[in-house]
Amino acid sequence: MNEVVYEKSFDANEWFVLINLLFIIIVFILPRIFNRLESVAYFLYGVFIAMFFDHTISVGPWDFYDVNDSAAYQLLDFLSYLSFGTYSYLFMYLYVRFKIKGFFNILYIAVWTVFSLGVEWVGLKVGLYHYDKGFQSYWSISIYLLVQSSQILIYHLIVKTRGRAQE
Amino acid sequence: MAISISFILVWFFVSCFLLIPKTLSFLHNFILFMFTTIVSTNVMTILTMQLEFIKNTQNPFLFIVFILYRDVLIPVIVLLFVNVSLHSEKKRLFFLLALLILVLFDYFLVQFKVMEFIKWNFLFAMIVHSAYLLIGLLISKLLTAMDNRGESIK
Repeated sequence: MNEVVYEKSFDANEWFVLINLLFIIIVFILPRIFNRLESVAYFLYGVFIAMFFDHTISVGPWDFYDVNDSAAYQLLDFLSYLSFGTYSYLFMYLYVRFKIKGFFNILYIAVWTVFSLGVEWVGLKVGLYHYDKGFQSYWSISIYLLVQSSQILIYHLIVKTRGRAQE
Repeated sequence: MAISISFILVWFFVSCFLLIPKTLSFLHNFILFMFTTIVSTNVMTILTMQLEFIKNTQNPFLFIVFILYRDVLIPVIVLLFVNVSLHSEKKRLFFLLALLILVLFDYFLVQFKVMEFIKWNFLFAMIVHSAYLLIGLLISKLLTAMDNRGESIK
């Protein structure tokens, strides 16, 4: 297999993924405000979105970036996707806790987009991401805005259809 | 050509899913969709990048067809199958129908060179698609069981 290898040592990017994985504990520590299935949905959303975009724009023919030490799909890549679940859960948790409504939705999404860009920047510095073909961090802004807005819309749909089967 | 045909087919199956009476709730369908997409994405990445059993197109435009297949068509067919067959006695018939649609789409992708089978064939494809459908059914039963525990926070 002809693959790109950036490095092979256990260093900052591996620690970054493992520390992020530890944050999953937060999901269990926080007082529960969602039922079990809704918690699963909000956690899974982050994993789903991260996998969708990574396995779409970071693979050939587009291949805008690589994740972790090489271009190959590794166990660490898979583990790094799980940590996105914590962020998507927290996104929804704080949204409900702070009772975000009306125009505050825009502010809330903007704050989370800035936070996401910050986490991505740290990921870039520690070697979790390796950009290619001129990819820039700010390209991700549109993705963050889209997926966070979608998550809020889905949350409202879930609330609206709570306790009833589909028509 | 391949992009147009795949868009039409995906539109048709998504429309069918939106219009059929559903046995699962929105939340159940949403979780099942995400779960199936995660599984199919990982399977396709492992088959193409790691094992190199399948070679996906390197044409950026045709790659859209591959994404539609992996992230929309497979999960939507699983959702259709689960919602239609969950409480039906014609499970086997719906299973075979869903399997046929998925394998025909595989054939379409191979014909239009969206993917190329290297160490892969339609029998293996049928086995993997059967696994998607059965996992879908299993997950839906698990979700229903979790819901029936009657847990309520609010």
